[in-house]
Amino acid sequence: MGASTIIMMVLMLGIFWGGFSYMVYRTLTTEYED
Amino acid sequence: MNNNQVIWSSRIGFILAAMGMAVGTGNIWRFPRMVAEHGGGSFLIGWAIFLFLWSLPLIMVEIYIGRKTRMGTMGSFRDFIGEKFAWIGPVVTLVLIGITFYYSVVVGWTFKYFIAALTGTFTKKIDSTKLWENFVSNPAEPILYHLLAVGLCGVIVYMGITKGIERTSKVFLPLLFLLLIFTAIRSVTLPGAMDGLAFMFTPQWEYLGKASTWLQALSQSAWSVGAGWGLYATYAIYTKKRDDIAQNSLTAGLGNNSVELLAGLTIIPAIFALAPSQEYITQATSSGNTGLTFIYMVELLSVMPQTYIFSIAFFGALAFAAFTSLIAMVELITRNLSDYGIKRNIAIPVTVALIFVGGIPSAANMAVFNNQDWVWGIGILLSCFLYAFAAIKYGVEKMRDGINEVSFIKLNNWWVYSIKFFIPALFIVMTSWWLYQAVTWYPDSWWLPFEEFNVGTVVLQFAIVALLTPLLLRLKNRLRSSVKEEGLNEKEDV
Repeated sequence: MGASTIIMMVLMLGIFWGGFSYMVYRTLTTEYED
Repeated sequence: MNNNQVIWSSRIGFILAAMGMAVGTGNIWRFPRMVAEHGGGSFLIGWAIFLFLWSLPLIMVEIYIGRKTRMGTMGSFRDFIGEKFAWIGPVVTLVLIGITFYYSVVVGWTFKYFIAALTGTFTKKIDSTKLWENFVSNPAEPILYHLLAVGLCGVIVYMGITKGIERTSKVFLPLLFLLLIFTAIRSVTLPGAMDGLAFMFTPQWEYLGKASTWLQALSQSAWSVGAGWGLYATYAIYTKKRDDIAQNSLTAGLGNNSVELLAGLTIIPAIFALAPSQEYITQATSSGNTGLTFIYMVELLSVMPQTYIFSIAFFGALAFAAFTSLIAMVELITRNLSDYGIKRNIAIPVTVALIFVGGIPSAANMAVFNNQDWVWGIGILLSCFLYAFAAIKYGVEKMRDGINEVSFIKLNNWWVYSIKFFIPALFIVMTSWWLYQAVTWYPDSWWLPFEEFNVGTVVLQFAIVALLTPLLLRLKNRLRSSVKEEGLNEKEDV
């Protein structure tokens, strides 16, 4: 597996899995006023 | 059933329902095929960019319109940008109805294969081509499964927004993730799977210079995220006034793409690990959505370790993904009928009956199914453009300011430029490219109206939509926000 493959894998999984996990975490832990 | 509609019980409830709608068969059976056919990592670059340039801006537009008007797609454009543009409502709704007719058939297929997995059909060496062809060539069985699919969706919608749709999404979405995580782990740990993993993520730079890579990446985003179809707008009717539009949209969009990556990690490494030759891999990835899923994957399942568990997880994920998308479509049509003054407990069976009858030709004949998939795939692009057009007419900056008022992520000019310039331009380029492709598929008969995938059939069926639109507009004065009339409640009695 070359460097470009690993960079792409980290980038894609980071953006989508990481981003999605953070957004769900934020939604569940934020106290909304409304 | 209480006539009062309710709002989603929580933000996560809305997000899960929206994701349930967005995540469909396209995520599982089209995405891996596109990655394999269009340069692996190179395709992923385009696919990631278009989520932010096309799909996310459109999701936000939809949610804004749905929540502001609290009306189904048929009447929301009239209330949003005026009588002059009321015609957009019927066009968007008819396109979605066209999709629903054949999508219910797809859901039926996934049920059939899920049941076959549960009963252990795939643990034996079977002729997968024969199994599939026997199934689709005998109309009775696909029609029966189509009825089961739409009937079950009707039951969920009848149970209500929170007790039906939200509760179902809260069960099926996490389950879908778990099943796909299981299948992805199983696939990437097969001997030889690393080649598939490397193929999926390695950018083949020469593909970045091909227009088809970018256009297929854009099409994948447009068809799989579900933005601009009217479904987010329908679910947004039941959101709170101050729900964070940007956050909800971003979560749903990222979640949708996360599922696609899981599907890619399930199918691509499995094919590389289990396929007997390179030629077989090429055949499998170029065999179309149904060919890859119902023929090649079934064939590979029989040589996979733990076939029984893997087949249940794979076809279970596919069935749950398809089912939750169909629920949203049933809700969209039901909400529109309610806006015409039809009581919800009558509107639901009417919707189910309409979808059942409308889907019979696609269930009975694969050529009709393929034709509908082609025509309404183009229709969806038009629908996306019309949502962007509505935002432009309303005022993109005004809409952005409205979204920013309630959002922790502040939208800036990229969002405005996307709606004003990128989406209209991409719509023209993408639609022209697909129609040009259709001309090359049928160079001598591209204008004839009754071919499976040509330009003539698109023109004919769009002409039918154009004829039906003024008829539906005659009834526009009956349209009112049934949700506003019935009142929005925090609780729901069934």
